[in-house]
Amino acid sequence: MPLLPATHEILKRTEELTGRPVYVTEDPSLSILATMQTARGTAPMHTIRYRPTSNAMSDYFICWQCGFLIRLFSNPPSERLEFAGAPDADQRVKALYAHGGASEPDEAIAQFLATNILTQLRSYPIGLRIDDWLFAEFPELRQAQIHGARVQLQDNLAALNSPGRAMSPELIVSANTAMNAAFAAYWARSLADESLMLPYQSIGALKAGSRLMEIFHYCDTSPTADRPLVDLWAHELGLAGWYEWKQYTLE
Amino acid sequence: MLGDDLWTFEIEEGAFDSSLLPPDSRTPNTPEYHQAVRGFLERNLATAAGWFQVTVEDNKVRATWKSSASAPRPIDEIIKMLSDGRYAEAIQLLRMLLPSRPTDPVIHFNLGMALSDVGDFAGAGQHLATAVELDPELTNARVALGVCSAREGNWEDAAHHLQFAIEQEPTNGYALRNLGACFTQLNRLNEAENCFRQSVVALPQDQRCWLGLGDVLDRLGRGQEADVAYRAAIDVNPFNDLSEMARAARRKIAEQTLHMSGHERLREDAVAGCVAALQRFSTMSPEQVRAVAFEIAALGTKGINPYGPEARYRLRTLDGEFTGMPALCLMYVGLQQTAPEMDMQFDLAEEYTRAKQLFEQVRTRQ
Repeated sequence: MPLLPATHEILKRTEELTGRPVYVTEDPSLSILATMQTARGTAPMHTIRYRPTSNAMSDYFICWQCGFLIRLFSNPPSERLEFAGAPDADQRVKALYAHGGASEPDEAIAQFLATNILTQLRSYPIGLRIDDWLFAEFPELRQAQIHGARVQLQDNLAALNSPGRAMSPELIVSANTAMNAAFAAYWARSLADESLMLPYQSIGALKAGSRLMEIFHYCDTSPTADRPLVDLWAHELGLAGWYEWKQYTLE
Repeated sequence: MLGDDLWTFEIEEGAFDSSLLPPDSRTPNTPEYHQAVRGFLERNLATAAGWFQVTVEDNKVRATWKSSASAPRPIDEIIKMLSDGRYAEAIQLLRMLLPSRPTDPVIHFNLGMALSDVGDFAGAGQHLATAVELDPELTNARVALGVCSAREGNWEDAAHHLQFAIEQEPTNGYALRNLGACFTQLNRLNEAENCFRQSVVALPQDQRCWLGLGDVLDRLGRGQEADVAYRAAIDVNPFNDLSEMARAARRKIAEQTLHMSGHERLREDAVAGCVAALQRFSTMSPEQVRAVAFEIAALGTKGINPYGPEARYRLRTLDGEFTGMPALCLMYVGLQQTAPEMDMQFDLAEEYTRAKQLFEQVRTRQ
């Protein structure tokens, strides 16, 4: 697949900054739009896998994933911290079921819910910083970026009526909805389309989304502030303690 | 930028936030509830989308719409709603905009103003303070913050905000008017007069400025100057509640002045007016006299200024033009002669007695 010049530029910048190559590959089996494995130890390169869509949209997802690496490596080595689920994250999910009077879910479901909500907690706030950067500095990617946002917004709207919503613990549902509302708010502003907020207003999620966006706007935008940004969102969503920050090293 | 993107969301009826609906339409699965949900979504989409369709059936709320670059700007629609007094709708819309524009002072300003108008002063104060923080040059937000404090009765705080606003914009008529009102409440009457005098220069068509000036002058014991201010308020718009307030204030001043003159000295212009009235009425039938008196009494409800030589009144029942005091005397004498039981709310009894004496003297000489 031929990549856009902007994508080449961002890949080059990523490789220079991290000192490791970035391997990009299609993966039609992916359930999400793109994923990245960061180089470390026996993994000598960063690997970005993406679900093939239109070419331009793939460029956006590749660049967006590179954005996480660029932000991580923009910090001095001692402040390069990686986000990881706490060892008891699955247990916390099970406890939520028990607290709600429901029967305990099996291990796979608990792990799935914990992984999903924590991935969203890390990727939404930092991802929006990356979107700011791409939007401002790479006009060439803008159409793809908007297209990608639209896909995510549609997926989020569909989730409002998904059966999984009714079966998940209240804390997980409310955290997911609040982050989706914040995501919609970000794009409502960028695209000057306030109608995107209406679904979240209709289900009473406006205030929670609003709080997250206030935090997003008032936090420092530098990569060193990514950790406090995620921590503040977590605190607001009741997810403090569900994850850890670990020192990142290439070895 | 999304052009004609089609969006859809569907939720269970019970998932809809019923606090967004009028209190009498919050019971799910009722026709009122369905209509209110549909109305809410349609109103909001009308201000932010292009084509849209909303259905509420089979326990599902479903909205489908297209983004449109030509959709009206929500903030313009909201400002129109606020000026039409549609506060509840405007507040809901502003709250919808807030998450995507948390750093937009205009959203906080309008939301603060709207909340202040519906009596949620705590919420209003918060949003107005945020607006000022985000844009320290937004003087009207400072004014609104002052008004909000004043509505809570915190006159000192209000005066502080308004003084700050005036430092920023010395000719801001609303700031001056409201600061005048605060100073009046704080009994700082000379400062209040100063503010109101500046406010009527900045906003000569604002009745509240003139009324405020009239009130403070009246409290300073300068009734004639107050009367001029009240008349100016009436001139701006003679047919609204504010002009009625101005008329009531003028009647009170006239009553006090006439009452005072009864005790202290006779008003010569009133005596002369009564003599003239007696002369005119001497050649007219009681019915004609009564018609004149009643016509002036009716005119009086729109305000007759006894001290304004420039104001002239024409009557259907009597030839000529009359300034305030002669007109008032015609009414007084006419009612004394034909309907003495009527309460005229002012007293020219001594002037009338003196006028009758003079009139008799003249007639005797003739």
